[in-house]
Amino acid sequence: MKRAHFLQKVSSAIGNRTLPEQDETSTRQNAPSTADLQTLINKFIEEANAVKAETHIASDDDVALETVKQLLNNQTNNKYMSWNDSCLPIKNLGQRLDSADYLRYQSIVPRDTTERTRAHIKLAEVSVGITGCNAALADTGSIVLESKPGQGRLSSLLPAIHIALLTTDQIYPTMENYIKSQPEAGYNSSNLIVITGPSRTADITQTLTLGVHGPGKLHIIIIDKVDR
Amino acid sequence: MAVTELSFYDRISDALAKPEGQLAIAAGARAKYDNRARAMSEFPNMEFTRDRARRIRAQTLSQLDKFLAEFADNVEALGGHIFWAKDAQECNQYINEIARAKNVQLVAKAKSMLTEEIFLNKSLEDSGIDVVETDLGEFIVQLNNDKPSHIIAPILHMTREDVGNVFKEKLNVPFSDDPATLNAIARAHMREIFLKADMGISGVNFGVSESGAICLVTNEGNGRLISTAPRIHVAVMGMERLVPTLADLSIMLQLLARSATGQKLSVYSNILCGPRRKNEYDGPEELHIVILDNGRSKILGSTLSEILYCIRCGACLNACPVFHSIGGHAYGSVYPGPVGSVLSPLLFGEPWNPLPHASSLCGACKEVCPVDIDLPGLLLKSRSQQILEGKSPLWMRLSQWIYAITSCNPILFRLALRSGQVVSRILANDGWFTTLPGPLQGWSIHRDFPALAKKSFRQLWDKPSQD
Repeated sequence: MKRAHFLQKVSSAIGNRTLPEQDETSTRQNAPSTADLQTLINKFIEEANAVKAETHIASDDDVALETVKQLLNNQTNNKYMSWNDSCLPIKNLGQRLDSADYLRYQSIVPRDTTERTRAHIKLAEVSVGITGCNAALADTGSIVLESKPGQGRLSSLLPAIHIALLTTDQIYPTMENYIKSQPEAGYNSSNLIVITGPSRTADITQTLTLGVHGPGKLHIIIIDKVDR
Repeated sequence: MAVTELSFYDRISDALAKPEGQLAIAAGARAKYDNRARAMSEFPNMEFTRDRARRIRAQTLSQLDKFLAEFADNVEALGGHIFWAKDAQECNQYINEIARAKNVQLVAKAKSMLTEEIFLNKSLEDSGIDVVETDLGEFIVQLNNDKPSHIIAPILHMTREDVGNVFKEKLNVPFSDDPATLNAIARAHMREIFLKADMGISGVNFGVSESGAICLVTNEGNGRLISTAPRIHVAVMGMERLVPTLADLSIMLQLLARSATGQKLSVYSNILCGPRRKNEYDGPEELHIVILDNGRSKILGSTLSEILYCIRCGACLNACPVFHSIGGHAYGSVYPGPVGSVLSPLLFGEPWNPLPHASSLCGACKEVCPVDIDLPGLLLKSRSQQILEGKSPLWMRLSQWIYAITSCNPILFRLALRSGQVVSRILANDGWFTTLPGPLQGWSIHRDFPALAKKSFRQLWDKPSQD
């Protein structure tokens, strides 16, 4: 069907009829939150834990690195995938994990059809995905990730364990606050993902189970001091 | 939509005859109802947010042509393709054409009621393409050759033993009724499909006009996988699914999650803005968005247009006492419950006309609706429309005709009254009929019907009692 014809049908359906309340666009806003940083961090941790994400606090990026290593050590293999180092708050993460014998898989997926599938199948071997965050939302315990260059989607999606590195200055009180102060986030990349806890389902008799298709474990490492 | 062979009343009898299914449905819906109530009670400014959401929907629909044009322009500027589909056939044909042109053999699908509405899977399968439903509930429905019984929880009607048996039979695994074990089996089975699929197909929870983004909401992560791994992503969007801005979207997402499952936000609120861009690591090479009318413009122009405010959270299903008793299948439509009772006759026509009558108009659905749709009002409007169009059943028309004639004629009216009094005196028990004859029997199983008074108002008027 042609666009013009389709839209013509819609506009003639609307006609002159007024739908309820169409003229009143609300200008009111929910009251802005004025919480201080520590309250914000505490709220974020509380909400993230409530949706079964595990939070770790790191005073600086050395401590954060140790936490990452500990989490990697608990895995069946030493393979991981991640965002590009320049997009992560731990300096030279790749190099520092290389020297500790962890193996980073290339996570740029080829555009060619056959190569693409091959790359996917290889990436399915990794046990951990490491990403940064572009923001976090305290009132829901969510992390927000953009798929900008260097920030692949699959690192937070394919492996069974997702480690997200968050810095305290990235926490916003609510999604509305975040969108208001970062309006370009909705356009910046092909994918803006708001993640609230690990993958879950309650399809079978309303019984909650974690990790059905996405990561069953979500570790959020909250880094206090960042040297940028 | 194909007409089911059984009548609505036969389907209801069938549903009532299966106590296990009925219990599973009532318990599941009840749990969801309680989760919603708890989440909403913890929601600061709940009524205010609900009011805002309603205004957003009203504003969008009152200028839908403008918002659709803006949305389509933005999608195309991002490198996405827009296809305008008048009906199911145009939509299915377009998707089949892409599949053929791009040599697609395997399709991974996220849950979408809209694609159920248009029988997209069947259309693709008829062309020899493998289509796999990846939402856990929908996957089980597909394995079992069943139909979803709830728009959010497709297997609400199944017990865990049912699911265990389906897996044992269809996937050749040892029987288990442990949800975690069943979940792990599904995850392993589905991995390869995500990684190898040529095309991912999803619905759209919301389209954002100002950016051309679409939002897919899932808890499992299948919506993310099918919109990231396959080289082609096709999203089918009902034309009413838009919101003007990203800020509006954030309001809707919070209400949707709380209303549907009692979560503050769903696990993955996935906002997709065009196909994979230059230098991005992954994502689909092609994005096609089909904007589908399929009867919606007709609804928009009708007195029932408010039903298009619906954001498909399923809260009205969970609140409805009728849904609790008869479950989703009895409605014979992909859209069951109160919202489905209004929508189905509008979308699918006359065979679904009995649906709006299956309601006591208790108002529980309106109370829980996140965009405050006046569902009882719409159900009433839908009923009265059927009568105005002369589409009510013969017995109803006949009895209304007899009633009209009797009431217009004083002699007939008095005669009818007298005979009623005689019958009452003979058959009624202490002023009540405890059983009614013939088809009315069902009604009187749980209720008594009041007998006529010994003296009518007219008789009392003519000869007022002395005391």
